[in-house]
Amino acid sequence: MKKKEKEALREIRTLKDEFENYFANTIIPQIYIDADYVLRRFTPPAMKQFNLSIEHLGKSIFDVLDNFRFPSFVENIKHVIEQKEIVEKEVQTTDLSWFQMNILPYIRKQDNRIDGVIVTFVDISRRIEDLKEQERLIAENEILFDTVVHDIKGPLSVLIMAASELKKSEKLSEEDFIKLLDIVDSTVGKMVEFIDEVSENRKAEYSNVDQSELLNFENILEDVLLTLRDPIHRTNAELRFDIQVSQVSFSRRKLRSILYNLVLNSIKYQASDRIPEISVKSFREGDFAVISVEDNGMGIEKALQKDVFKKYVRADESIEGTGIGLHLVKQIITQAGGKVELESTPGKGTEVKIYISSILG
Amino acid sequence: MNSSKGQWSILLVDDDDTTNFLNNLLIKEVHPSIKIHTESGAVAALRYLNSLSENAITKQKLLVFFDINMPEMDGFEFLDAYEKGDRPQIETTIIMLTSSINRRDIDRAKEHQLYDIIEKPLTPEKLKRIFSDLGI
Repeated sequence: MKKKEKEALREIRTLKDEFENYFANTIIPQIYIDADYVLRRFTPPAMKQFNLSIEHLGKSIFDVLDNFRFPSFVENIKHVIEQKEIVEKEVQTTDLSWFQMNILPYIRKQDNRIDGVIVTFVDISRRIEDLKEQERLIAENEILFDTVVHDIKGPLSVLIMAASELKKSEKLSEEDFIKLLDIVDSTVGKMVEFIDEVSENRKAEYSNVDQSELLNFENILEDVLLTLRDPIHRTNAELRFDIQVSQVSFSRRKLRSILYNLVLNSIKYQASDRIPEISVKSFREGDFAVISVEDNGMGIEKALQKDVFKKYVRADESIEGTGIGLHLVKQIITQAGGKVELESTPGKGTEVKIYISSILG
Repeated sequence: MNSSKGQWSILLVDDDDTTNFLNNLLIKEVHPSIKIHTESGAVAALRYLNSLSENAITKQKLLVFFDINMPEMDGFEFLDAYEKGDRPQIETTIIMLTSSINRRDIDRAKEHQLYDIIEKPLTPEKLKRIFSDLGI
Protein backbone atom coordinates (compact mmCIF):
# COMPACT_ATOMS: atom_id res chain seq x y z
CA MET A 1 0.00 0.00 0.00
CA LYS A 2 1.24 3.38 -0.88
CA LYS A 3 2.07 5.77 1.88
CA LYS A 4 -0.70 8.17 0.81
CA GLU A 5 -3.31 5.43 0.82
CA LYS A 6 -2.18 4.30 4.26
CA GLU A 7 -2.55 7.81 5.58
CA ALA A 8 -5.98 8.13 4.02
CA LEU A 9 -7.04 4.85 5.55
CA ARG A 10 -5.82 5.95 8.97
CA GLU A 11 -7.74 9.14 8.58
CA ILE A 12 -10.91 7.26 7.69
CA ARG A 13 -10.43 4.96 10.70
CA THR A 14 -10.02 7.98 12.96
CA LEU A 15 -13.13 9.55 11.53
CA LYS A 16 -15.06 6.30 11.95
CA ASP A 17 -13.87 6.10 15.56
CA GLU A 18 -14.91 9.63 16.23
CA PHE A 19 -18.24 9.05 14.58
CA GLU A 20 -18.89 5.85 16.52
CA ASN A 21 -17.75 7.39 19.75
CA TYR A 22 -20.06 10.24 19.13
CA PHE A 23 -23.00 7.96 18.43
CA ALA A 24 -22.25 5.73 21.42
CA ASN A 25 -21.88 8.56 23.89
CA THR A 26 -24.55 10.98 22.90
CA ILE A 27 -27.26 11.31 25.51
CA ILE A 28 -29.94 12.21 22.99
CA PRO A 29 -32.02 9.64 21.11
CA GLN A 30 -30.82 9.79 17.50
CA ILE A 31 -31.50 7.50 14.57
CA TYR A 32 -29.93 7.34 11.14
CA ILE A 33 -32.20 5.94 8.46
CA ASP A 34 -30.92 5.66 4.91
CA ALA A 35 -32.66 6.52 1.67
CA ASP A 36 -33.94 2.92 1.37
CA TYR A 37 -35.63 3.29 4.79
CA VAL A 38 -33.12 0.95 6.41
CA LEU A 39 -32.11 1.54 10.02
CA ARG A 40 -28.38 2.17 9.86
CA ARG A 41 -27.47 3.50 13.28
CA PHE A 42 -29.00 4.61 16.53
CA THR A 43 -27.71 5.96 19.79
CA PRO A 44 -28.06 4.06 23.10
CA PRO A 45 -30.74 6.48 24.35
CA ALA A 46 -32.67 5.79 21.14
CA MET A 47 -32.40 2.04 21.85
CA LYS A 48 -33.79 2.61 25.30
CA GLN A 49 -36.56 4.98 24.26
CA PHE A 50 -37.81 2.94 21.31
CA ASN A 51 -36.95 -0.60 22.48
CA LEU A 52 -34.39 -1.12 19.73
CA SER A 53 -31.62 -3.70 19.86
CA ILE A 54 -28.57 -4.49 17.73
CA GLU A 55 -30.67 -6.98 15.72
CA HIS A 56 -32.74 -4.11 14.39
CA LEU A 57 -29.70 -2.71 12.56
CA GLY A 58 -30.10 -3.21 8.83
CA LYS A 59 -33.83 -3.77 9.09
CA SER A 60 -36.37 -1.72 7.17
CA ILE A 61 -38.10 0.99 9.18
CA PHE A 62 -41.42 -0.55 8.07
CA ASP A 63 -40.56 -3.68 10.09
CA VAL A 64 -40.05 -1.76 13.30
CA LEU A 65 -42.85 0.78 12.97
CA ASP A 66 -44.47 -0.63 16.09
CA ASN A 67 -41.59 0.88 18.03
CA PHE A 68 -42.46 4.34 16.73
CA ARG A 69 -46.10 4.74 17.38
CA PHE A 70 -46.54 8.33 16.43
CA PRO A 71 -48.59 9.27 13.41
CA SER A 72 -47.07 9.83 9.97
CA PHE A 73 -43.48 9.00 10.97
CA VAL A 74 -42.72 7.37 7.58
CA GLU A 75 -44.48 10.15 5.67
CA ASN A 76 -42.36 12.71 7.49
CA ILE A 77 -39.13 10.84 6.59
CA LYS A 78 -40.28 10.51 2.99
CA HIS A 79 -40.97 14.21 2.86
CA VAL A 80 -37.45 15.05 4.05
CA ILE A 81 -35.81 12.69 1.55
CA GLU A 82 -37.89 13.87 -1.40
CA GLN A 83 -38.23 17.57 -0.65
CA LYS A 84 -34.88 18.10 1.09
CA GLU A 85 -36.78 19.98 3.76
CA ILE A 86 -36.33 19.69 7.50
CA VAL A 87 -39.33 18.42 9.46
CA GLU A 88 -39.83 19.55 13.05
CA LYS A 89 -42.73 18.41 15.16
CA GLU A 90 -43.77 17.55 18.67
CA VAL A 91 -44.55 13.89 19.23
CA GLN A 92 -45.68 11.84 22.18
CA THR A 93 -44.15 8.41 22.62
CA THR A 94 -45.85 5.33 24.05
CA ASP A 95 -44.50 6.04 27.53
CA LEU A 96 -46.30 9.40 27.30
CA SER A 97 -43.11 11.46 27.13
CA TRP A 98 -43.07 14.41 24.80
CA PHE A 99 -40.27 14.92 22.28
CA GLN A 100 -39.42 17.53 19.77
CA MET A 101 -38.61 15.38 16.73
CA ASN A 102 -36.28 16.87 14.14
CA ILE A 103 -35.79 15.02 10.85
CA LEU A 104 -32.81 16.36 8.95
CA PRO A 105 -31.63 15.22 5.53
CA TYR A 106 -28.35 13.28 5.51
CA ILE A 107 -26.51 14.79 2.56
CA ARG A 108 -23.59 13.11 0.87
CA LYS A 109 -21.10 15.87 0.29
CA GLN A 110 -19.41 14.26 -2.74
CA ASP A 111 -22.48 14.25 -4.99
CA ASN A 112 -24.88 16.37 -2.92
CA ARG A 113 -27.35 13.49 -2.85
CA ILE A 114 -29.65 12.78 0.05
CA ASP A 115 -28.66 9.47 1.48
CA GLY A 116 -31.18 9.29 4.27
CA VAL A 117 -32.24 11.15 7.34
CA ILE A 118 -31.03 11.76 10.87
CA VAL A 119 -33.88 11.81 13.36
CA THR A 120 -33.16 13.58 16.62
CA PHE A 121 -35.45 13.57 19.65
CA VAL A 122 -35.21 16.28 22.26
CA ASP A 123 -37.12 15.53 25.46
CA ILE A 124 -39.60 18.34 26.08
CA SER A 125 -41.85 16.53 28.57
CA ARG A 126 -40.93 18.95 31.32
CA ARG A 127 -41.69 21.92 29.12
CA ILE A 128 -45.03 20.47 28.07
CA GLU A 129 -45.88 19.67 31.69
CA ASP A 130 -44.94 23.21 32.70
CA LEU A 131 -47.12 24.62 29.96
CA LYS A 132 -50.06 22.48 31.01
CA GLU A 133 -49.58 23.48 34.62
CA GLN A 134 -49.41 27.12 33.58
CA GLU A 135 -52.64 26.83 31.62
CA ARG A 136 -54.34 25.15 34.55
CA LEU A 137 -53.19 27.86 36.92
CA ILE A 138 -54.33 30.61 34.57
CA ALA A 139 -57.76 29.00 34.23
CA GLU A 140 -58.00 28.58 37.98
CA ASN A 141 -56.96 32.14 38.62
CA GLU A 142 -59.53 33.42 36.16
CA ILE A 143 -62.31 31.56 37.94
CA LEU A 144 -61.06 32.70 41.32
CA PHE A 145 -60.87 36.24 40.05
CA ASP A 146 -64.46 36.12 38.77
CA THR A 147 -65.64 34.72 42.09
CA VAL A 148 -63.81 37.35 44.08
CA VAL A 149 -65.15 40.13 41.88
CA HIS A 150 -68.67 38.78 42.21
CA ASP A 151 -68.48 38.32 45.97
CA ILE A 152 -66.89 41.68 46.60
CA LYS A 153 -69.34 43.49 44.38
CA GLY A 154 -72.36 42.39 46.43
CA PRO A 155 -71.29 43.98 49.72
CA LEU A 156 -69.65 46.82 47.82
CA SER A 157 -72.94 47.85 46.23
CA VAL A 158 -74.55 47.81 49.66
CA LEU A 159 -71.76 50.08 50.92
CA ILE A 160 -72.19 52.45 47.98
CA MET A 161 -75.91 52.76 48.65
CA ALA A 162 -75.51 53.17 52.38
CA ALA A 163 -72.85 55.84 51.90
CA SER A 164 -74.98 57.81 49.46
CA GLU A 165 -77.92 57.67 51.88
CA LEU A 166 -75.73 58.79 54.78
CA LYS A 167 -74.69 61.85 52.79
CA LYS A 168 -78.25 63.09 53.01
CA SER A 169 -78.23 62.69 56.78
CA GLU A 170 -80.44 65.75 57.40
CA LYS A 171 -83.31 64.00 55.62
CA LEU A 172 -82.95 60.77 57.57
CA SER A 173 -84.72 59.76 60.74
CA GLU A 174 -82.42 58.96 63.63
CA GLU A 175 -83.52 55.35 63.47
CA ASP A 176 -82.60 55.03 59.79
CA PHE A 177 -79.33 56.86 60.38
CA ILE A 178 -78.23 54.37 63.06
CA LYS A 179 -79.40 51.48 60.94
CA LEU A 180 -77.30 52.74 58.03
CA LEU A 181 -74.22 52.97 60.24
CA ASP A 182 -74.82 49.41 61.41
CA ILE A 183 -75.10 48.29 57.80
CA VAL A 184 -71.78 49.90 56.92
CA ASP A 185 -70.19 48.29 59.94
CA SER A 186 -71.42 44.76 59.32
CA THR A 187 -70.86 44.92 55.55
CA VAL A 188 -67.25 45.96 55.98
CA GLY A 189 -66.91 43.10 58.45
CA LYS A 190 -68.29 40.63 55.92
CA MET A 191 -65.87 41.85 53.27
CA VAL A 192 -62.94 41.42 55.64
CA GLU A 193 -64.10 37.89 56.45
CA PHE A 194 -64.32 37.06 52.78
CA ILE A 195 -60.86 38.40 52.02
CA ASP A 196 -59.51 36.45 55.01
CA GLU A 197 -61.10 33.29 53.67
CA VAL A 198 -59.60 33.73 50.22
CA SER A 199 -56.12 34.46 51.53
CA GLU A 200 -56.28 31.69 54.14
CA ASN A 201 -57.09 29.16 51.44
CA ARG A 202 -54.47 30.47 49.05
CA LYS A 203 -51.83 30.07 51.70
CA ALA A 204 -52.78 26.47 52.40
CA GLU A 205 -53.17 25.59 48.74
CA TYR A 206 -49.88 26.92 47.50
CA SER A 207 -47.80 26.41 50.58
CA ASN A 208 -44.76 24.21 50.16
CA VAL A 209 -44.16 24.18 53.87
CA ASP A 210 -46.27 21.22 54.80
CA GLN A 211 -44.11 19.12 57.04
CA SER A 212 -45.97 17.07 59.55
CA GLU A 213 -45.45 17.84 63.15
CA LEU A 214 -46.99 16.71 66.36
CA LEU A 215 -49.87 19.07 66.97
CA ASN A 216 -52.14 19.73 69.86
CA PHE A 217 -55.57 19.61 68.32
CA GLU A 218 -57.16 21.86 70.93
CA ASN A 219 -54.57 24.57 70.31
CA ILE A 220 -55.20 24.58 66.60
CA LEU A 221 -58.94 24.62 67.15
CA GLU A 222 -58.65 27.57 69.53
CA ASP A 223 -56.58 29.39 66.99
CA VAL A 224 -59.12 28.79 64.22
CA LEU A 225 -62.05 29.87 66.39
CA LEU A 226 -60.22 33.07 67.19
CA THR A 227 -59.86 33.80 63.47
CA LEU A 228 -63.56 33.08 63.01
CA ARG A 229 -64.74 35.07 66.02
CA ASP A 230 -66.54 37.70 63.90
CA PRO A 231 -68.78 35.33 61.94
CA ILE A 232 -69.37 33.29 65.12
CA HIS A 233 -70.35 36.42 67.00
CA ARG A 234 -72.50 37.76 64.16
CA THR A 235 -74.55 34.56 63.90
CA ASN A 236 -74.57 33.78 67.66
CA ALA A 237 -73.31 30.33 66.69
CA GLU A 238 -73.16 27.81 69.53
CA LEU A 239 -70.14 25.53 69.56
CA ARG A 240 -69.72 22.27 71.40
CA PHE A 241 -66.57 20.22 71.71
CA ASP A 242 -65.79 16.60 72.45
CA ILE A 243 -62.05 16.08 72.07
CA GLN A 244 -60.97 12.51 72.67
CA VAL A 245 -57.84 12.58 70.53
CA SER A 246 -55.75 15.64 71.21
CA GLN A 247 -52.44 14.79 69.55
CA VAL A 248 -52.38 14.69 65.78
CA SER A 249 -49.39 14.43 63.49
CA PHE A 250 -50.10 16.71 60.56
CA SER A 251 -49.03 19.91 58.85
CA ARG A 252 -50.00 22.82 61.10
CA ARG A 253 -51.12 25.09 58.30
CA LYS A 254 -53.16 22.39 56.63
CA LEU A 255 -54.95 21.20 59.75
CA ARG A 256 -55.75 24.85 60.44
CA SER A 257 -57.12 25.28 56.95
CA ILE A 258 -59.29 22.16 57.27
CA LEU A 259 -60.85 23.24 60.55
CA TYR A 260 -61.24 26.79 59.31
CA ASN A 261 -63.13 25.70 56.21
CA LEU A 262 -65.36 23.19 57.98
CA VAL A 263 -66.41 25.53 60.78
CA LEU A 264 -66.86 28.46 58.38
CA ASN A 265 -69.06 26.31 56.12
CA SER A 266 -71.23 25.37 59.09
CA ILE A 267 -71.74 29.08 59.77
CA LYS A 268 -72.20 30.18 56.17
CA TYR A 269 -74.67 27.47 55.30
CA GLN A 270 -76.77 27.91 58.40
CA ALA A 271 -80.50 27.29 58.26
CA SER A 272 -82.38 30.56 58.01
CA ASP A 273 -84.76 29.78 60.88
CA ARG A 274 -82.31 28.84 63.65
CA ILE A 275 -78.96 29.83 65.06
CA PRO A 276 -76.04 27.60 64.05
CA GLU A 277 -75.16 24.79 66.44
CA ILE A 278 -71.80 23.32 65.61
CA SER A 279 -70.26 20.31 67.24
CA VAL A 280 -66.55 19.58 66.82
CA LYS A 281 -65.31 16.14 67.82
CA SER A 282 -62.11 14.17 67.60
CA PHE A 283 -61.95 10.46 68.29
CA ARG A 284 -60.18 7.32 67.27
CA GLU A 285 -61.59 4.85 64.77
CA GLY A 286 -59.30 1.92 63.95
CA ASP A 287 -56.00 3.30 62.67
CA PHE A 288 -57.46 6.73 62.07
CA ALA A 289 -57.83 9.87 64.05
CA VAL A 290 -61.23 11.23 63.08
CA ILE A 291 -62.19 14.88 63.20
CA SER A 292 -65.88 15.54 62.86
CA VAL A 293 -67.64 18.87 62.36
CA GLU A 294 -71.41 18.60 62.54
CA ASP A 295 -73.99 21.34 62.18
CA ASN A 296 -77.74 21.99 62.14
CA GLY A 297 -77.50 24.01 58.92
CA MET A 298 -79.44 24.00 55.68
CA GLY A 299 -77.91 20.68 54.57
CA ILE A 300 -76.94 19.63 51.07
CA GLU A 301 -79.21 17.94 48.56
CA LYS A 302 -78.27 14.35 47.71
CA ALA A 303 -77.59 15.25 44.08
CA LEU A 304 -75.10 17.94 45.07
CA GLN A 305 -73.26 16.01 47.77
CA LYS A 306 -70.58 14.61 45.47
CA ASP A 307 -70.07 17.89 43.66
CA VAL A 308 -69.31 19.96 46.74
CA PHE A 309 -65.79 18.55 46.78
CA LYS A 310 -65.15 19.81 43.26
CA LYS A 311 -63.35 23.04 42.86
CA TYR A 312 -65.45 26.20 42.54
CA VAL A 313 -68.71 24.35 43.18
CA ARG A 314 -70.88 26.03 45.74
CA ALA A 315 -73.83 24.37 47.41
CA ASP A 316 -75.72 27.62 47.25
CA GLU A 317 -74.79 30.27 44.72
CA SER A 318 -76.47 33.01 46.70
CA ILE A 319 -74.03 32.63 49.60
CA GLU A 320 -70.67 34.30 49.35
CA GLY A 321 -67.74 31.96 49.00
CA THR A 322 -65.06 30.86 46.67
CA GLY A 323 -66.14 27.25 46.24
CA ILE A 324 -62.65 26.23 47.20
CA GLY A 325 -63.12 25.25 50.84
CA LEU A 326 -64.28 21.64 50.66
CA HIS A 327 -62.23 20.98 47.55
CA LEU A 328 -59.13 22.06 49.41
CA VAL A 329 -60.03 19.95 52.45
CA LYS A 330 -60.46 16.88 50.30
CA GLN A 331 -57.24 17.53 48.41
CA ILE A 332 -55.20 17.96 51.58
CA ILE A 333 -56.60 14.85 53.23
CA THR A 334 -56.34 12.65 50.15
CA GLN A 335 -52.72 13.66 49.67
CA ALA A 336 -52.02 12.74 53.26
CA GLY A 337 -53.51 9.28 52.75
CA GLY A 338 -56.73 9.94 54.63
CA LYS A 339 -60.33 10.26 53.56
CA VAL A 340 -63.27 12.64 53.86
CA GLU A 341 -66.85 11.58 54.47
CA LEU A 342 -69.93 13.75 54.23
CA GLU A 343 -73.37 13.04 55.55
CA SER A 344 -76.12 15.55 55.04
CA THR A 345 -79.87 15.88 55.23
CA PRO A 346 -81.42 18.94 53.57
CA GLY A 347 -83.12 21.06 56.18
CA LYS A 348 -81.46 19.24 59.09
CA GLY A 349 -77.71 19.62 58.82
CA THR A 350 -74.38 18.29 57.67
CA GLU A 351 -71.57 16.28 59.20
CA VAL A 352 -68.10 16.17 57.63
CA LYS A 353 -65.66 13.58 58.96
CA ILE A 354 -61.95 13.77 58.31
CA TYR A 355 -59.90 10.60 58.66
CA ILE A 356 -56.22 11.18 59.37
CA SER A 357 -54.13 8.03 59.20
CA SER A 358 -51.18 8.88 61.40
CA ILE A 359 -52.00 9.35 65.04
CA LEU A 360 -49.95 9.52 68.13
CA GLY A 361 -51.30 9.54 71.65
CA MET B 1 -98.57 61.85 32.72
CA ASN B 2 -100.03 62.81 36.05
CA SER B 3 -103.11 60.70 35.62
CA SER B 4 -101.05 57.50 35.22
CA LYS B 5 -98.84 58.18 38.21
CA GLY B 6 -101.14 56.80 40.83
CA GLN B 7 -101.53 53.47 39.06
CA TRP B 8 -97.98 52.29 39.56
CA SER B 9 -96.71 50.46 42.57
CA ILE B 10 -93.45 48.65 43.25
CA LEU B 11 -92.56 45.15 44.41
CA LEU B 12 -89.03 44.64 45.78
CA VAL B 13 -87.76 41.07 46.03
CA ASP B 14 -84.39 40.34 47.61
CA ASP B 15 -83.36 37.77 50.21
CA ASP B 16 -81.05 40.33 51.77
CA ASP B 17 -82.95 42.54 54.20
CA THR B 18 -80.26 45.20 54.04
CA THR B 19 -80.64 45.58 50.28
CA ASN B 20 -84.43 45.77 50.66
CA PHE B 21 -84.08 48.45 53.30
CA LEU B 22 -81.67 50.51 51.19
CA ASN B 23 -83.73 50.17 48.00
CA ASN B 24 -86.80 51.22 49.95
CA LEU B 25 -85.08 54.36 51.23
CA LEU B 26 -83.82 55.20 47.76
CA ILE B 27 -87.15 54.74 45.97
CA LYS B 28 -88.96 56.82 48.58
CA GLU B 29 -86.53 59.66 47.96
CA VAL B 30 -86.89 59.55 44.19
CA HIS B 31 -90.64 59.00 44.26
CA PRO B 32 -92.07 59.73 47.73
CA SER B 33 -95.67 58.82 46.93
CA ILE B 34 -95.23 55.45 45.21
CA LYS B 35 -96.43 52.36 47.09
CA ILE B 36 -93.69 49.83 47.81
CA HIS B 37 -94.21 46.23 48.83
CA THR B 38 -91.24 44.08 49.90
CA GLU B 39 -90.79 40.30 49.82
CA SER B 40 -87.68 38.35 50.84
CA GLY B 41 -88.15 35.31 48.61
CA ALA B 42 -89.43 34.22 45.21
CA VAL B 43 -92.15 31.96 46.62
CA ALA B 44 -93.58 34.75 48.75
CA ALA B 45 -93.36 37.09 45.76
CA LEU B 46 -95.38 34.66 43.62
CA ARG B 47 -97.97 34.41 46.37
CA TYR B 48 -98.19 38.20 46.51
CA LEU B 49 -98.58 38.44 42.73
CA ASN B 50 -101.37 35.87 42.79
CA SER B 51 -103.18 37.74 45.53
CA LEU B 52 -102.97 40.88 43.40
CA SER B 53 -104.52 39.12 40.45
CA GLU B 54 -107.38 37.89 42.60
CA ASN B 55 -108.21 41.34 43.90
CA ALA B 56 -107.34 42.96 40.61
CA ILE B 57 -107.89 46.67 40.54
CA THR B 58 -108.22 47.66 36.93
CA LYS B 59 -105.39 49.51 35.27
CA GLN B 60 -102.99 48.85 38.12
CA LYS B 61 -99.34 48.57 37.05
CA LEU B 62 -96.59 46.88 38.99
CA LEU B 63 -92.85 47.44 38.67
CA VAL B 64 -90.87 44.50 40.08
CA PHE B 65 -87.22 44.68 41.13
CA PHE B 66 -86.00 41.13 41.50
CA ASP B 67 -82.64 39.86 42.78
CA ILE B 68 -81.31 37.15 40.42
CA ASN B 69 -79.30 35.27 43.05
CA MET B 70 -81.56 33.89 45.70
CA PRO B 71 -81.67 30.60 47.59
CA GLU B 72 -84.51 28.16 46.89
CA MET B 73 -85.63 29.85 43.68
CA ASP B 74 -83.49 32.22 41.63
CA GLY B 75 -84.72 35.05 39.44
CA PHE B 76 -85.13 32.99 36.28
CA GLU B 77 -86.82 30.10 38.04
CA PHE B 78 -89.20 32.68 39.44
CA LEU B 79 -89.88 33.97 35.91
CA ASP B 80 -90.50 30.39 34.68
CA ALA B 81 -93.04 29.85 37.44
CA TYR B 82 -94.60 33.27 36.97
CA GLU B 83 -94.95 32.97 33.18
CA LYS B 84 -96.46 29.50 33.48
CA GLY B 85 -99.03 30.46 36.09
CA ASP B 86 -102.18 32.51 35.66
CA ARG B 87 -101.08 35.96 34.74
CA PRO B 88 -102.36 38.59 37.08
CA GLN B 89 -104.79 41.05 35.63
CA ILE B 90 -102.39 43.82 36.34
CA GLU B 91 -99.56 44.85 34.06
CA THR B 92 -96.15 43.82 35.39
CA THR B 93 -92.77 45.19 34.38
CA ILE B 94 -89.94 43.05 35.73
CA ILE B 95 -86.38 44.25 36.23
CA MET B 96 -83.69 41.88 37.47
CA LEU B 97 -80.97 43.11 39.78
CA THR B 98 -77.62 41.37 39.97
CA SER B 99 -74.22 42.13 41.48
CA SER B 100 -72.44 41.38 38.22
CA ILE B 101 -74.03 40.90 34.85
CA ASN B 102 -72.73 37.85 33.03
CA ARG B 103 -73.23 36.40 29.58
CA ARG B 104 -75.27 33.45 30.84
CA ASP B 105 -77.80 35.71 32.56
CA ILE B 106 -78.20 37.82 29.43
CA ASP B 107 -78.82 34.68 27.35
CA ARG B 108 -81.35 33.38 29.84
CA ALA B 109 -83.05 36.75 29.97
CA LYS B 110 -83.81 36.57 26.24
CA GLU B 111 -86.12 33.62 26.89
CA HIS B 112 -88.24 35.67 29.23
CA GLN B 113 -90.37 38.75 29.23
CA LEU B 114 -87.95 40.88 31.07
CA TYR B 115 -87.76 44.63 30.93
CA ASP B 116 -84.11 44.93 31.90
CA ILE B 117 -81.20 43.53 33.88
CA ILE B 118 -79.50 46.10 36.06
CA GLU B 119 -76.23 45.87 37.93
CA LYS B 120 -76.43 46.59 41.64
CA PRO B 121 -76.45 49.02 43.33
CA LEU B 122 -79.63 50.77 42.39
CA THR B 123 -78.85 54.49 42.20
CA PRO B 124 -81.03 57.62 41.94
CA GLU B 125 -79.85 58.02 38.31
CA LYS B 126 -80.80 54.46 37.34
CA LEU B 127 -84.16 54.80 39.09
CA LYS B 128 -84.94 58.15 37.47
CA ARG B 129 -84.12 56.74 34.04
CA ILE B 130 -86.41 53.72 34.58
CA PHE B 131 -89.22 55.89 35.96
CA SER B 132 -89.01 58.33 33.07
CA ASP B 133 -88.84 55.51 30.46
CA LEU B 134 -91.94 53.91 31.96
CA GLY B 135 -93.71 57.22 32.46
CA ILE B 136 -93.92 56.80 36.21
